[in-house]
Amino acid sequence: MSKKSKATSLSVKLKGIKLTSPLIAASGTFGFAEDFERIESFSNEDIGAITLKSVSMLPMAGNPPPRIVETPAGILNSIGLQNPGIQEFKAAHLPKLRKYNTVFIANIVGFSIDEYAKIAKEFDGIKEIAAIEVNISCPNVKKGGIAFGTDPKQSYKVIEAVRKSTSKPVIAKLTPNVTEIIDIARACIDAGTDMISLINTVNAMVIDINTKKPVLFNNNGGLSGPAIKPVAIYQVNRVYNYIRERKLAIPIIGMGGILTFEDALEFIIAGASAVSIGTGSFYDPFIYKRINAKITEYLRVNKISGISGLVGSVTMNS
Amino acid sequence: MQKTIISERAHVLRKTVINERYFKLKVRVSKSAFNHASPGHFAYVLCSQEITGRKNRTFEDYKELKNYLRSDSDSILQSQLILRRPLCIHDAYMRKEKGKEQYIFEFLVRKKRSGTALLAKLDKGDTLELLAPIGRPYGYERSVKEKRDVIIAAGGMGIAPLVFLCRKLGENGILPVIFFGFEEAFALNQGSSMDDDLKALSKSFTITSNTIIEDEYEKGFVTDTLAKHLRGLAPKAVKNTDIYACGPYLMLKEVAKIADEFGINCEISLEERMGCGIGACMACVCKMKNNDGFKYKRVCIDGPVFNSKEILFE
Repeated sequence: MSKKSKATSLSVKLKGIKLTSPLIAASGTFGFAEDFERIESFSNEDIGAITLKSVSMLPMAGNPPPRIVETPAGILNSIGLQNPGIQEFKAAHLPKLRKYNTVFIANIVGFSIDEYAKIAKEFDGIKEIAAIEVNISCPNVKKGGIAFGTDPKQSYKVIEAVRKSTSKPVIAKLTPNVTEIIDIARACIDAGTDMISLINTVNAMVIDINTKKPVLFNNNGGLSGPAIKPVAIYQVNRVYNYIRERKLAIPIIGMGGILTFEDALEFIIAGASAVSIGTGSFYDPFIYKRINAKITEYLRVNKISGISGLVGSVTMNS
Repeated sequence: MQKTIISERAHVLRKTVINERYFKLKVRVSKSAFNHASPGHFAYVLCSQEITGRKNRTFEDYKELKNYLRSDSDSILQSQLILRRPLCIHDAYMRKEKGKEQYIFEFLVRKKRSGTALLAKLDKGDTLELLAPIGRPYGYERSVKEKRDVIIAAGGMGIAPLVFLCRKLGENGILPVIFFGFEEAFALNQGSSMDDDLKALSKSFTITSNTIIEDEYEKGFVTDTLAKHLRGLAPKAVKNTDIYACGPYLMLKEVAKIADEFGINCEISLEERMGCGIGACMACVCKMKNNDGFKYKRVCIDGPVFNSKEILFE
């Protein structure tokens, strides 16, 4: 299949990967790209890239329900990385990706450094996958995920192991649930990550005042949606400044609570080269198409030739 | 992938307030949404309707909100509820209005918290943004094809999907036996023609309650009435019966047990808190039997209707 690469004002390039839009579907909110396609006139091809649900070596059952609860301007979830494992992914889901003319990013999770290396190697051999995002930030499983992403040394080891296992671009996905996110970003950069995506969800809890128990079975979960957007903007901008000061070429994929084109632009101005959308697509499945149109209009009205002219364009109050 | 879920703005034709907790919405949908709809399907509706800043008069307070927000801005979204609410299709039918075909969905809604309270503000002339129809519906077509007897067991709000089911069965010459139980003021008659509809669409319509005592109601649980009815049937009649059920979890667990005891094919509609509503996020899972263990299936797409034998009740 020929990949279309017609350059428009929305096109972006991330470490050699051409996207027709800076909007990326966030891992865990888009399954394996099969589900939104059930909706009439929805097209996966309106999305710049699709990050697949986290895949582990072995199948994972996930957490018992309730797995989700609504919060002010957000949602709290604790899915627990339910996924069919790499073999079932390859057999049942991978073949279906081939019919869509867009970019796919794998998201991997492991429970040991060795397992991260193994799963990265599996995806390295899959030609439909353009890049590998490393989930070192899932807050919803006891081991793995966030246990690596909150410790710079462990983050380094995971990214180093993944880096050695693949020639595809590596994206380290960071958690905001740390005291100093720059320490983790630095460790991932030192270990050879090509890109950084942030933020994953924020640790949070909701309690039912009648039962006096947390609403989620897992007690705590990850907060997403507009409620966390200012937190995400701040952290994206900090990591961007760190990368810029060191004159590194590490693109940032910003995410956290994008619902509108204004939100997406805010991330880009803060320093993101592309942005991911997740929770927002539950609200409006056509969010990608809607924001694409509005960003195009914004660029035209403001006479900006492309997204890259906006990345990191924020000027701080002195 | 077949594209059978329609995203559209339905037009609210009428709101019927049943009492302070329950109301019905009658909306006009596209022919396409109507044609795909089957009993057991649900619509995933937005509670906040200002999604793209399009001009509408969804809420009385919309104009007020607009006054202090730039009208070209999307930022009004930021204080809104993020999750849609699943409303099962209570009834669906076509009618002629001035010679033109109109396709109607009705929803029965219980005001619970903020989302349904916002939906309660909708009225004639407003729009309702929805994704529909979604899910695996009741397999009533098999009952029709095999000329089965049908029993419907509903508890409380579990009555919601079953009017549509009765209608489809009726169109195909099957009059079901309905058992309906409820434990709170669910005044069917106040401004609602639901019990008349159900009486007209059924062989018998039995109401059971433990808490609301009326001469025409049976006292007890709906499952008691169901079991009693089945015990009174000839073995041959039991063998030719299908059960369709919807209601609270504990009731459904009991219905599944009864169906199992009598060896009856039984389909049950489950509910769980949903995220995306279309199968992507894995939030709304329920435990299903899987060899010796279990696996989680999505209520939104793998369900909401499951065979009672599949479900691992806890």
